Amino acid sequence: MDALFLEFFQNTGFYLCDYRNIIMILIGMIFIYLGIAKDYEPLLLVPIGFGMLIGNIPIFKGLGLGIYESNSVLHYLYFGVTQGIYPPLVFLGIGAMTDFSTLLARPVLMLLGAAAQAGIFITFLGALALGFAPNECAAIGIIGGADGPTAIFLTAKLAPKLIGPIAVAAYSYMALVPVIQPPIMKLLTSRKERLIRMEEPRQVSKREKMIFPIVAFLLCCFLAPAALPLLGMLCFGNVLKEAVVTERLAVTARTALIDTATILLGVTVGASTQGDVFLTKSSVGIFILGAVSFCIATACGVMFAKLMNVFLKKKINPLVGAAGVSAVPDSARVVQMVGQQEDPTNFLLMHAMAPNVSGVIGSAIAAGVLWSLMV
Amino acid sequence: MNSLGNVLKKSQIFKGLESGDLDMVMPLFHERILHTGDVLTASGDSAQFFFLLGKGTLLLAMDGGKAVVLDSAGDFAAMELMSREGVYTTSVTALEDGVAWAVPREAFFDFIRQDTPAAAEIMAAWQIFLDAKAGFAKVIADIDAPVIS
Amino acid sequence: MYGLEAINANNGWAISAVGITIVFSGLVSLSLLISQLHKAVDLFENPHKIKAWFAGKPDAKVSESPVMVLREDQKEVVRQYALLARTMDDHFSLPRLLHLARVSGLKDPCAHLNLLLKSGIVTPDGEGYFCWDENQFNQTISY
Repeated sequence: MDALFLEFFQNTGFYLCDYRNIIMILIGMIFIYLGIAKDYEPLLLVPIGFGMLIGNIPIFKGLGLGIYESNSVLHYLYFGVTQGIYPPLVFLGIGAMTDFSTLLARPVLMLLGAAAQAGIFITFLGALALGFAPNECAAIGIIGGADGPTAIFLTAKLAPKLIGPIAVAAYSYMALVPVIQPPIMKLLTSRKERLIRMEEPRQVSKREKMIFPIVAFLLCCFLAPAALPLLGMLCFGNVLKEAVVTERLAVTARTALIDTATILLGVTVGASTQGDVFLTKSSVGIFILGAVSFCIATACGVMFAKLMNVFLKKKINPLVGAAGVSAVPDSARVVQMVGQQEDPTNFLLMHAMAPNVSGVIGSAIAAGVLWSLMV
Repeated sequence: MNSLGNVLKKSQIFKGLESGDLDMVMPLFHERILHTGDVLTASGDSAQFFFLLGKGTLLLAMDGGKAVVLDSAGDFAAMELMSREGVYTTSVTALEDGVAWAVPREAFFDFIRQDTPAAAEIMAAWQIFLDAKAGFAKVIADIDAPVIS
Repeated sequence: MYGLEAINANNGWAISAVGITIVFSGLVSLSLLISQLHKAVDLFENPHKIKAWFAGKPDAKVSESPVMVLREDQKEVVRQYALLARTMDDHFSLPRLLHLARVSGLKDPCAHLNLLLKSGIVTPDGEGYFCWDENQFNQTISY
């Protein structure tokens, strides 16, 4: 009988527990806390945080419970991540909820979305310099795109082993947009620049909004075919939204479908952060490079906006450049917040949405380009 | 003039009542002056009053993001537009200065629970009003007053 | 291998340059294309403009719906409301719009929301949500 108890005890989490599991469980709890109490990206941080708890329950290997065991339920759910299935579904939902009218009203702001993607490639170089393999560097660099699904998609294709740390880094920095971006924005702009008022965008017709996703899809995917899974679904979702007659499909895409994909994506990515797999030297490097990438992307957007002002008659508020990272709509909200700290009557949110949604397109193209250059 | 009597006569819900019935209903109402931005009810609070609009505009913000705007004299913010099981499910905000008449919820229910032609008239008129103003809010199962056919 | 040596060995400079160039050229060409899109759509929607070009006559457009006359300060707030409405779905929650107006510090949000309703710029969709009427908005603002 004693032997049975001993055998049972040896299979419990208390016996099998490793300090790394404890660390990851604590990080998971912090994620859940930040999501619920601080309202930082709760729809992402809560599933990922709980996924971390799931993934770090110490288990007896061979029982088919762990996410990395080929016959486990979690492993089957994780298949959607490793094969890049969930990110396009999330993009479909994003497309079905995004209004591109601000972009259509002032297309020049699209360049800010492109400029912010420079962070991806600069970080790519940084990662190479630190000794990462080229495929891993591409996956690390994409964190600067501030687009979780894109980061996961590219990592699944190029460096599947790094999905856990890259996804966690990407979503952590996205959640911390209100903390990370303002100091960079303030550092790179003068008060006079932050006070610039932008002219009201023109009205955009329904027909323009309908044509845009089709034109954008054809142009971008002819240019970078590897962006097809992400951009295709993004633009298709937007077509569903704008077509009106497909409203039912659009509603499903932007509610049930994206929620389902987000839950599965979040929980499985969280569960993939098993302490022994996740807490490595390369994860630390990824987190540092991810933060650098994010900061560079923000800075590139702001600096490019300042550069554009040299040539533009109707000046743009350089704060808007920070929204070029595609954390929609958080970075646009940050622009609004920082702008209103200087002038409470200055209304930048709408202007910031243009580079913000163009950042989504830009990061998808960047992912496509990196994928095609790496394979 | 927007006296209570005039408003009741204009109201789709009460205009079909006999004058004797109107005399019975009128003492239940008391005047409430509305100022722009006034919050008359907050969702989640105990439901105590319904409101008959005399003048002005009321925004009825329901749980879940839906809303109804009442802007005609005689519009009635009541029953499933306002509450469920004694709790407000709707926050009411005045969008402009005006006047409303508040009627205690329980007293109103006591009146329409009676097996009288006036109660039947009010309930029938209420269904028509609700169809026209906020058909989406018509959830028979949630009406915490008897349905009189 | 680390540092510049690693970057050179893995063709890092070229990959980065090509990558950023493709991203930029993609978005620049898309930007150029959509900057002309509204003109093409406008001609498609108003074929009489093409005729007017050849006839050399100015395009006359007469508003048919009644327009509420607003003061300049009211127009300014209505414009700010328009910006907020554009961040929302076509069928949006009116209480949400009011909430956004409050947190964004718009002047007299309730009174101006009432103006939007009275002027027909914001109209109910019959399902508990509301729509923004761009035509009515444009007419009201330009009146």
